[in-house]
Amino acid sequence: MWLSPPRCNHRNVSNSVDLPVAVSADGLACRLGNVEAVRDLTLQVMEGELFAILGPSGSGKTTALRLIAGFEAPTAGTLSLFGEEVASASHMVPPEKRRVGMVFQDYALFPHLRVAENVAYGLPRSADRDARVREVLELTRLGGMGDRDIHQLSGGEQQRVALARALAPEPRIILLDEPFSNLDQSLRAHVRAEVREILKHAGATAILVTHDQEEALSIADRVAFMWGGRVEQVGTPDEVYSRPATLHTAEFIGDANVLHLPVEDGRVAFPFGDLPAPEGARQAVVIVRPEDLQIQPAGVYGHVVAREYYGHDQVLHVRLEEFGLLLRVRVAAHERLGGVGPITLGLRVTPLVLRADAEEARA
Amino acid sequence: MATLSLPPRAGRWYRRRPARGNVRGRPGPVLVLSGALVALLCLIPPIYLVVRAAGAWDNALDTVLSRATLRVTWNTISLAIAVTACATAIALPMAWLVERSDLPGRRALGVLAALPLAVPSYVGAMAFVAAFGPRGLVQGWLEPLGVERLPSIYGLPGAVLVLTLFTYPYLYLTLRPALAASDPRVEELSRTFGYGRWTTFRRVVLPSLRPALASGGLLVALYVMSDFGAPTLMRFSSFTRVIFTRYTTSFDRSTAAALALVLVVLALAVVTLEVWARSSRRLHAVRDAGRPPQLVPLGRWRWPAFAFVAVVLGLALVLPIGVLLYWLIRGLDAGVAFRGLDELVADSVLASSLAAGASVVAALPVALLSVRHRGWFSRLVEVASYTGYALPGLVVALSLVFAAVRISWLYQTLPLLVIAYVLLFFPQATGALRVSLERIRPSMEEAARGLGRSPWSVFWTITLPLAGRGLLAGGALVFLTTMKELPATLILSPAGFHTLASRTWNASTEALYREAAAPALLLVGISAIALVGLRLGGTTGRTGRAVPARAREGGEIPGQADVVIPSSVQSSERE
Repeated sequence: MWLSPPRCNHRNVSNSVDLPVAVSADGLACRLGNVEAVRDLTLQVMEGELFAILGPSGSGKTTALRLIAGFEAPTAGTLSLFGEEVASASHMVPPEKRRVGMVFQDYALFPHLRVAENVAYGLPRSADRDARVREVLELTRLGGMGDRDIHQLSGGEQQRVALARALAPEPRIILLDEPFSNLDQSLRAHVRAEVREILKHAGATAILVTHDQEEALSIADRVAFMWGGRVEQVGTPDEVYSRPATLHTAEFIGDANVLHLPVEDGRVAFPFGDLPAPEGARQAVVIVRPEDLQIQPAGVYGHVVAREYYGHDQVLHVRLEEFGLLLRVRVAAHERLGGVGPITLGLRVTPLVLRADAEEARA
Repeated sequence: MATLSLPPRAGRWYRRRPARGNVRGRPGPVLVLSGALVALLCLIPPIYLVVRAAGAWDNALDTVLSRATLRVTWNTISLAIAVTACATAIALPMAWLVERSDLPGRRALGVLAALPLAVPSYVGAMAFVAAFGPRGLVQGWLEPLGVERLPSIYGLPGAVLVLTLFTYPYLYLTLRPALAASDPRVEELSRTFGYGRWTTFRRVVLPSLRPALASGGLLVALYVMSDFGAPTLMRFSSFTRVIFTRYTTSFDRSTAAALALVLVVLALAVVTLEVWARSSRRLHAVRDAGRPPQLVPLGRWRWPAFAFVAVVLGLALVLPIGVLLYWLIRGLDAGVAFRGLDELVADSVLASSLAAGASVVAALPVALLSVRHRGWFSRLVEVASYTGYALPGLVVALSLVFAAVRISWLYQTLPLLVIAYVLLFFPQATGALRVSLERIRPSMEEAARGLGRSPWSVFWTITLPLAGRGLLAGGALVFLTTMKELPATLILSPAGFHTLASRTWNASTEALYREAAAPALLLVGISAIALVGLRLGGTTGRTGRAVPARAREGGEIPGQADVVIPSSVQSSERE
């Protein structure tokens, strides 16, 4: 019999502080050979949440996932699942006893088993095993495909089999490692929405690892951004996008103008008006999203030096001679079709100011 | 299930992950124990050899340092070098023609070119002696024309000729996948820089073949040094011939042991080179999906090239088989062709099947350790397991005689013979098994663990079924090699136990070709079937097909990944 954790009926949870904690990592560190793959990983994932770990390759996000699954052992820190400690430097619950489902990047389907056999693999022998397999196949829209061979399936179908197999034993948590990266670009958005729906329908707690910001932002309830083995920021997609806490986050997620500007008398000299500088900073970094800039009649004078046309919109490269800055400005496709020439710019929102020295110290 | 309390020591196996690729934790105790047992068994021959030689130290030292030994050493080395050079001169153009040119009938020729491997060297040597030797077939034809005697077939030239013809496939088989796997785009790129075809071959293709050339060439050299049948029949005093003579004629067998030790040192030097060459053979570019390299039109060289291949195949396949058929017919006329054949087959199949089964069992822990748990222990077991494979069959057989001579219930029994076969050949099974284990991505096993299965259960439900073809291929390979094994069979067979190989040998040393023909042809036939079966077996079946298919198409050339004849073709293209 598979025992299910108390089901969570919330859908599309965005602020989930009131829910029980599913995963709690506290200062996790992990060495792989000579590489400090994960250092001081601290995060909490709530039950029923769809949580994304986003980061560039080599940021330790996959190792973080493997730590949660139990395929790696931490060298420091503790990891708890539903309040029960499953890993620390001295203690390790093996993966098969964690009740954690995993969907691998390559799906890792068993090629010698048929679809239904793959799905049934994690289920104990019992009378209702077949019924459960059918149920999960229905859930993942694979009904009637149970007798197929694995390599008769398309990429999207294989992915759903991997998901079905992971969901079948009703794990407490589903882990997805770059689940969409093996799919064609054209399929991805569709499959992503589908997977999100399946996971939400199953009420599963899911952690997804990806290097694709679009994927993380569009599918997750909350996103953790990892860099160099550390979590730099955790928040809703909106939060990490519009209020990046660090330079890395700002640079990696979305497009950003990163401006290193001097600080004088506690204020940053910024073309669109001085900004308050962070406490004690000698140099500040101001982050301006290209879409937060706009063309407006009375604004800062600049000169368009180049233009990237994307169809739905375009990006202008604008030189602010007076400040010696080059800005990327995203505007609608129909604006300023003339190409290069003079322009005046305005800013829609107050930009984010970070301490430059702190960033340098970190790097 | 809600509360999990686990023994604290469960964490031990997870503590650290070594730096190399697909390694997951430490091996379990069962695996460690069985691996250690196999390794120990493998170390028996060299240990006993040393013990025996040291037992008569002065005498042994005299033997080793004698002028005669020096000459034999020189003989052996020059034979190895000459054969390797000649085999390269045949295998490299042959592999290129079959893989990259519009040679007429290249597919068929490609398969045929590997087949001389199915002719045991002593059978080939016997055929050449029967054809070109004194009072051989050719002399018989030429006598009416007044030719009194042919140039002697015996000695170095004959030994080189025979060994080259029947060992070049080792090189050919390592070169072909390397040629097929090399990225055509690199060559195209070189052409766009204005380099011609020949310069491109020399500067781009050839360097990329170097690892394959090195390991294939060393394999040939190793084979030549350890081969007993061909040098003996060609009356060329290389080590194996001298050792065997000492063993059978001398009362003091410790000199045979001492000479065997010298041969072992020579062989080890070659093995070391081979291991070194293999470790640096990660040069293969992974070919992009689908597109095979373009075939080079040979133009007016088409038919000369065809003639080259035809002459080689004529000498290495048509001639020995023709000679054997001739003697078979003569034997039929005299009514002696099939005398006792059924018993020979029964004995051969019995010994070979036992060897194949035992080899697969021995190979499993070694392959699992080396693929899944890299580390110093696995490395140790792996190296130890190659001992018998690297040692000449004659030496292993001798050392087992030394080891078992006091154990009367084991000496000259079938189990001892099977042990010898296993020691000699089970690394072949390890190799085949390793290839299929390497194809099972660790993520599959991890997925299974994540679905609640214990490591043991994962092994039975995922690893073993997926490695099934590797097990079969490994077993078949050992079966095939055992069928034609000669020196261990000669030395260790129980009284009255005659295999196809030992009968062929005995009959051919006494020039009783009529009686040798049938078992020899049978050996060639069995070997050929096994060889072709192994090569073609790779294209069908639903096992081992990893998902998504896209990721793998680049690496797999149908069939080739499954030929695991040399120990060195094990590293798979996938990383």
